[in-house]
Amino acid sequence: MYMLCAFFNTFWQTLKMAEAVPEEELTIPRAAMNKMIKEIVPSVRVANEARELILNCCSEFIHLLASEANEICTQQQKKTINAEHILGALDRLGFNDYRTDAEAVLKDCKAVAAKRRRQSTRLENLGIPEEELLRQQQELFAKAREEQAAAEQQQWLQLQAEAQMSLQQQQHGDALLNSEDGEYS
Amino acid sequence: MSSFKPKLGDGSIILPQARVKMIMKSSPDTESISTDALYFVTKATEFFVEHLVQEIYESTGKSNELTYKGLADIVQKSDSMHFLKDMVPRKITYKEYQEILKEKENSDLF
Repeated sequence: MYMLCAFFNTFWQTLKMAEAVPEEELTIPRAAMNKMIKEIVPSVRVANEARELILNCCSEFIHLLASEANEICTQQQKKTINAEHILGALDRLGFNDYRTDAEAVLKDCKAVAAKRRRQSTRLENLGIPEEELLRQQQELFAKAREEQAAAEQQQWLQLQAEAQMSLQQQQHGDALLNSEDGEYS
Repeated sequence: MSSFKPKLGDGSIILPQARVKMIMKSSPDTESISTDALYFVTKATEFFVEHLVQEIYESTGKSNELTYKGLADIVQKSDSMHFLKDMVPRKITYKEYQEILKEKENSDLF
Protein backbone atom coordinates (compact mmCIF):
# COMPACT_ATOMS: atom_id res chain seq x y z
CA MET A 1 0.00 0.00 0.00
CA TYR A 2 2.83 2.28 0.89
CA MET A 3 4.65 1.58 -2.39
CA LEU A 4 1.48 2.28 -4.35
CA CYS A 5 1.08 5.65 -2.69
CA ALA A 6 4.63 6.63 -3.47
CA PHE A 7 4.21 5.61 -7.09
CA PHE A 8 1.03 7.63 -7.50
CA ASN A 9 2.65 10.61 -5.90
CA THR A 10 5.55 10.78 -8.32
CA PHE A 11 3.23 10.01 -11.23
CA TRP A 12 0.99 12.90 -10.28
CA GLN A 13 3.90 15.25 -9.81
CA THR A 14 5.30 14.39 -13.21
CA LEU A 15 1.91 15.06 -14.76
CA LYS A 16 1.71 18.43 -13.08
CA MET A 17 5.20 19.31 -14.19
CA ALA A 18 4.36 18.44 -17.75
CA GLU A 19 1.29 20.66 -17.65
CA ALA A 20 2.81 23.73 -16.08
CA VAL A 21 5.24 25.24 -18.57
CA PRO A 22 7.21 27.99 -16.89
CA GLU A 23 6.45 31.37 -18.36
CA GLU A 24 10.00 32.08 -19.43
CA GLU A 25 10.08 29.00 -21.63
CA LEU A 26 6.83 29.54 -23.48
CA THR A 27 7.78 30.27 -27.07
CA ILE A 28 6.63 29.81 -30.64
CA PRO A 29 7.40 26.29 -31.85
CA ARG A 30 10.74 26.01 -33.55
CA ALA A 31 9.32 24.46 -36.72
CA ALA A 32 7.11 27.48 -37.35
CA MET A 33 10.05 29.83 -36.76
CA ASN A 34 12.31 27.89 -39.10
CA LYS A 35 9.65 27.94 -41.77
CA MET A 36 9.32 31.71 -41.46
CA ILE A 37 13.05 32.36 -41.62
CA LYS A 38 13.28 30.10 -44.64
CA GLU A 39 10.65 32.19 -46.41
CA ILE A 40 12.26 35.49 -45.52
CA VAL A 41 15.89 34.70 -46.27
CA PRO A 42 15.93 31.38 -48.10
CA SER A 43 19.64 31.27 -48.87
CA VAL A 44 20.95 32.27 -45.46
CA ARG A 45 22.28 29.96 -42.80
CA VAL A 46 21.04 30.89 -39.38
CA ALA A 47 23.05 29.93 -36.32
CA ASN A 48 21.14 27.91 -33.75
CA GLU A 49 21.95 30.43 -31.11
CA ALA A 50 20.41 33.16 -33.22
CA ARG A 51 17.27 31.08 -33.82
CA GLU A 52 16.89 30.50 -30.10
CA LEU A 53 17.26 34.18 -29.50
CA ILE A 54 14.74 35.19 -32.16
CA LEU A 55 12.25 32.80 -30.55
CA ASN A 56 12.70 34.55 -27.22
CA CYS A 57 12.48 37.97 -28.84
CA CYS A 58 9.14 36.90 -30.30
CA SER A 59 7.82 35.99 -26.88
CA GLU A 60 9.04 39.30 -25.56
CA PHE A 61 7.31 41.13 -28.38
CA ILE A 62 4.04 39.29 -27.74
CA HIS A 63 4.25 40.00 -23.99
CA LEU A 64 4.87 43.65 -24.72
CA LEU A 65 1.91 43.86 -27.08
CA ALA A 66 -0.30 41.97 -24.65
CA SER A 67 0.42 44.14 -21.63
CA GLU A 68 0.14 47.39 -23.61
CA ALA A 69 -3.16 46.28 -25.15
CA ASN A 70 -4.35 45.12 -21.75
CA GLU A 71 -3.69 48.58 -20.37
CA ILE A 72 -5.70 50.23 -23.14
CA CYS A 73 -8.44 47.66 -22.61
CA THR A 74 -8.64 48.38 -18.88
CA GLN A 75 -8.63 52.12 -19.53
CA GLN A 76 -11.66 51.65 -21.73
CA GLN A 77 -13.18 49.50 -18.99
CA LYS A 78 -13.66 46.59 -21.35
CA LYS A 79 -13.22 42.94 -20.40
CA THR A 80 -12.02 41.53 -23.71
CA ILE A 81 -9.00 42.73 -25.63
CA ASN A 82 -10.20 43.51 -29.13
CA ALA A 83 -8.51 44.42 -32.41
CA GLU A 84 -8.70 48.15 -31.68
CA HIS A 85 -6.71 47.68 -28.48
CA ILE A 86 -4.00 45.79 -30.34
CA LEU A 87 -3.81 48.46 -33.02
CA GLY A 88 -3.57 51.11 -30.32
CA ALA A 89 -0.82 49.16 -28.61
CA LEU A 90 1.14 48.89 -31.87
CA ASP A 91 0.89 52.66 -32.25
CA ARG A 92 1.94 53.36 -28.68
CA LEU A 93 4.95 51.09 -28.95
CA GLY A 94 6.07 52.69 -32.20
CA PHE A 95 5.28 49.75 -34.47
CA ASN A 96 3.08 51.71 -36.88
CA ASP A 97 4.45 49.88 -39.89
CA TYR A 98 3.19 46.57 -38.58
CA ARG A 99 -0.15 48.17 -37.91
CA THR A 100 -0.81 49.34 -41.46
CA ASP A 101 0.38 46.07 -42.93
CA ALA A 102 -1.65 43.98 -40.48
CA GLU A 103 -4.76 46.04 -41.27
CA ALA A 104 -4.25 45.58 -44.99
CA VAL A 105 -3.83 41.84 -44.51
CA LEU A 106 -7.01 41.63 -42.42
CA LYS A 107 -8.94 43.47 -45.12
CA ASP A 108 -7.60 41.06 -47.75
CA CYS A 109 -8.51 38.14 -45.55
CA LYS A 110 -12.09 39.30 -45.15
CA ALA A 111 -12.44 40.04 -48.86
CA VAL A 112 -11.17 36.58 -49.77
CA ALA A 113 -13.52 34.93 -47.27
CA ALA A 114 -16.52 36.88 -48.57
CA LYS A 115 -15.65 36.08 -52.16
CA ARG A 116 -15.34 32.41 -51.34
CA ARG A 117 -18.81 32.42 -49.78
CA ARG A 118 -20.34 33.99 -52.89
CA GLN A 119 -18.49 31.66 -55.24
CA SER A 120 -19.73 28.60 -53.43
CA THR A 121 -23.00 28.89 -55.37
CA ARG A 122 -20.99 28.95 -58.61
CA LEU A 123 -23.35 31.45 -60.17
CA GLU A 124 -20.72 34.10 -60.67
CA ASN A 125 -18.45 31.69 -62.48
CA LEU A 126 -21.04 30.99 -65.21
CA GLY A 127 -21.23 34.64 -66.18
CA ILE A 128 -24.91 34.33 -67.00
CA PRO A 129 -27.26 37.16 -66.02
CA GLU A 130 -29.79 36.46 -63.30
CA GLU A 131 -32.93 36.75 -65.49
CA GLU A 132 -31.57 34.19 -67.91
CA LEU A 133 -30.81 31.85 -65.03
CA LEU A 134 -34.36 32.28 -63.71
CA ARG A 135 -35.79 31.51 -67.13
CA GLN A 136 -33.63 28.39 -67.38
CA GLN A 137 -34.76 27.35 -63.95
CA GLN A 138 -38.44 27.70 -64.93
CA GLU A 139 -37.80 25.65 -68.05
CA LEU A 140 -36.18 22.91 -66.06
CA PHE A 141 -39.07 22.86 -63.59
CA ALA A 142 -41.63 22.63 -66.40
CA LYS A 143 -39.70 19.85 -68.05
CA ALA A 144 -39.43 17.98 -64.78
CA ARG A 145 -43.17 18.30 -64.23
CA GLU A 146 -43.86 16.93 -67.71
CA GLU A 147 -41.55 14.02 -67.22
CA GLN A 148 -43.09 13.26 -63.87
CA ALA A 149 -46.60 13.36 -65.32
CA ALA A 150 -45.58 11.09 -68.19
CA ALA A 151 -43.98 8.64 -65.81
CA GLU A 152 -47.04 8.59 -63.62
CA GLN A 153 -49.30 8.00 -66.56
CA GLN A 154 -47.08 5.18 -67.71
CA GLN A 155 -47.30 3.60 -64.29
CA TRP A 156 -51.04 3.97 -64.25
CA LEU A 157 -51.42 2.33 -67.63
CA GLN A 158 -49.20 -0.51 -66.55
CA LEU A 159 -51.18 -1.06 -63.38
CA GLN A 160 -54.35 -1.08 -65.43
CA ALA A 161 -52.90 -3.63 -67.84
CA GLU A 162 -51.78 -5.84 -64.98
CA ALA A 163 -55.15 -5.55 -63.28
CA GLN A 164 -56.81 -6.44 -66.54
CA MET A 165 -54.63 -9.48 -66.98
CA SER A 166 -55.22 -10.76 -63.50
CA LEU A 167 -58.92 -10.27 -63.94
CA GLN A 168 -58.91 -12.27 -67.13
CA GLN A 169 -56.96 -15.04 -65.49
CA GLN A 170 -59.41 -15.14 -62.65
CA GLN A 171 -62.35 -15.29 -65.04
CA HIS A 172 -60.67 -18.09 -66.96
CA GLY A 173 -60.05 -19.93 -63.71
CA ASP A 174 -63.67 -19.47 -62.68
CA ALA A 175 -64.84 -20.74 -66.04
CA LEU A 176 -62.77 -23.89 -65.62
CA LEU A 177 -64.15 -24.46 -62.17
CA ASN A 178 -67.70 -23.99 -63.41
CA SER A 179 -67.18 -26.42 -66.26
CA GLU A 180 -65.80 -28.96 -63.81
CA ASP A 181 -68.86 -28.54 -61.65
CA GLY A 182 -70.94 -29.03 -64.72
CA GLU A 183 -69.32 -32.42 -65.32
CA TYR A 184 -70.18 -33.78 -61.94
CA SER A 185 -73.68 -32.58 -61.78
CA MET B 1 11.37 51.31 -40.77
CA SER B 2 9.58 53.18 -43.54
CA SER B 3 11.04 50.84 -46.15
CA PHE B 4 9.49 47.74 -44.57
CA LYS B 5 7.58 45.73 -47.17
CA PRO B 6 6.48 42.41 -45.73
CA LYS B 7 6.83 39.33 -47.83
CA LEU B 8 4.48 37.47 -45.55
CA GLY B 9 1.61 39.84 -46.20
CA ASP B 10 -0.60 37.58 -48.27
CA GLY B 11 -3.19 36.78 -45.60
CA SER B 12 -1.84 33.39 -44.67
CA ILE B 13 -0.49 32.75 -41.19
CA ILE B 14 2.53 30.66 -40.30
CA LEU B 15 2.71 31.11 -36.55
CA PRO B 16 0.22 29.02 -34.57
CA GLN B 17 -2.42 31.29 -33.06
CA ALA B 18 -3.09 28.93 -30.18
CA ARG B 19 0.49 29.21 -28.99
CA VAL B 20 0.44 32.99 -29.36
CA LYS B 21 -2.67 33.03 -27.21
CA MET B 22 -0.92 30.95 -24.55
CA ILE B 23 2.00 33.35 -24.50
CA MET B 24 -0.34 36.32 -24.19
CA LYS B 25 -2.25 34.71 -21.36
CA SER B 26 0.94 34.14 -19.42
CA SER B 27 1.21 37.92 -19.21
CA PRO B 28 -0.24 39.13 -15.94
CA ASP B 29 -3.84 40.35 -15.95
CA THR B 30 -4.53 39.29 -19.53
CA GLU B 31 -8.00 37.82 -19.58
CA SER B 32 -9.90 37.23 -22.79
CA ILE B 33 -8.79 38.10 -26.29
CA SER B 34 -11.06 38.46 -29.31
CA THR B 35 -10.41 36.42 -32.47
CA ASP B 36 -9.54 39.50 -34.47
CA ALA B 37 -7.16 40.70 -31.78
CA LEU B 38 -5.39 37.34 -31.69
CA TYR B 39 -5.07 37.42 -35.46
CA PHE B 40 -3.53 40.89 -35.30
CA VAL B 41 -1.02 39.91 -32.65
CA THR B 42 0.02 36.81 -34.59
CA LYS B 43 0.36 38.73 -37.82
CA ALA B 44 2.23 41.58 -36.11
CA THR B 45 4.64 39.06 -34.61
CA GLU B 46 5.29 37.61 -38.05
CA PHE B 47 6.03 41.08 -39.39
CA PHE B 48 8.27 41.70 -36.40
CA VAL B 49 10.32 38.59 -37.12
CA GLU B 50 10.49 39.44 -40.78
CA HIS B 51 11.61 42.96 -40.01
CA LEU B 52 14.20 41.77 -37.50
CA VAL B 53 15.65 39.19 -39.84
CA GLN B 54 15.74 41.59 -42.77
CA GLU B 55 17.48 44.27 -40.71
CA ILE B 56 20.17 41.86 -39.58
CA TYR B 57 20.57 40.63 -43.13
CA GLU B 58 21.03 44.16 -44.47
CA SER B 59 23.27 45.36 -41.67
CA THR B 60 25.67 42.44 -41.98
CA GLY B 61 26.14 43.27 -45.65
CA LYS B 62 23.76 40.56 -46.84
CA SER B 63 26.09 37.87 -45.58
CA ASN B 64 24.87 34.35 -45.85
CA GLU B 65 24.96 33.77 -42.15
CA LEU B 66 22.80 35.12 -39.34
CA THR B 67 24.63 35.10 -36.05
CA TYR B 68 24.18 36.20 -32.49
CA LYS B 69 26.47 39.15 -33.13
CA GLY B 70 24.34 40.38 -36.02
CA LEU B 71 21.26 40.26 -33.82
CA ALA B 72 22.96 41.96 -30.89
CA ASP B 73 24.20 44.78 -33.10
CA ILE B 74 20.79 45.47 -34.57
CA VAL B 75 19.15 45.47 -31.17
CA GLN B 76 21.58 48.05 -29.91
CA LYS B 77 21.29 50.25 -32.98
CA SER B 78 17.63 50.17 -33.95
CA ASP B 79 15.18 52.29 -31.97
CA SER B 80 12.21 50.01 -32.36
CA MET B 81 14.25 47.03 -31.19
CA HIS B 82 15.38 48.69 -28.00
CA PHE B 83 12.97 46.73 -25.86
CA LEU B 84 15.10 43.68 -26.61
CA LYS B 85 18.24 45.24 -25.20
CA ASP B 86 18.26 43.17 -22.06
CA MET B 87 17.64 39.96 -23.90
CA VAL B 88 20.48 40.31 -26.35
CA PRO B 89 23.41 41.96 -24.66
CA ARG B 90 26.52 42.42 -26.71
CA LYS B 91 29.08 39.77 -25.96
CA ILE B 92 32.37 41.07 -24.77
CA THR B 93 35.70 39.39 -24.30
CA TYR B 94 36.98 38.76 -20.82
CA LYS B 95 39.66 41.39 -21.37
CA GLU B 96 37.04 44.01 -22.14
CA TYR B 97 35.17 42.93 -19.03
CA GLN B 98 38.22 43.40 -16.88
CA GLU B 99 38.74 46.87 -18.29
CA ILE B 100 35.17 47.81 -17.56
CA LEU B 101 35.60 46.55 -13.99
CA LYS B 102 38.72 48.56 -13.57
CA GLU B 103 37.02 51.70 -14.84
CA LYS B 104 34.19 51.17 -12.43
CA GLU B 105 36.59 50.75 -9.57
CA ASN B 106 38.36 53.94 -10.52
CA SER B 107 35.15 55.94 -10.74
CA ASP B 108 34.01 54.49 -7.42
CA LEU B 109 37.13 55.76 -5.76
CA PHE B 110 36.23 59.34 -6.57
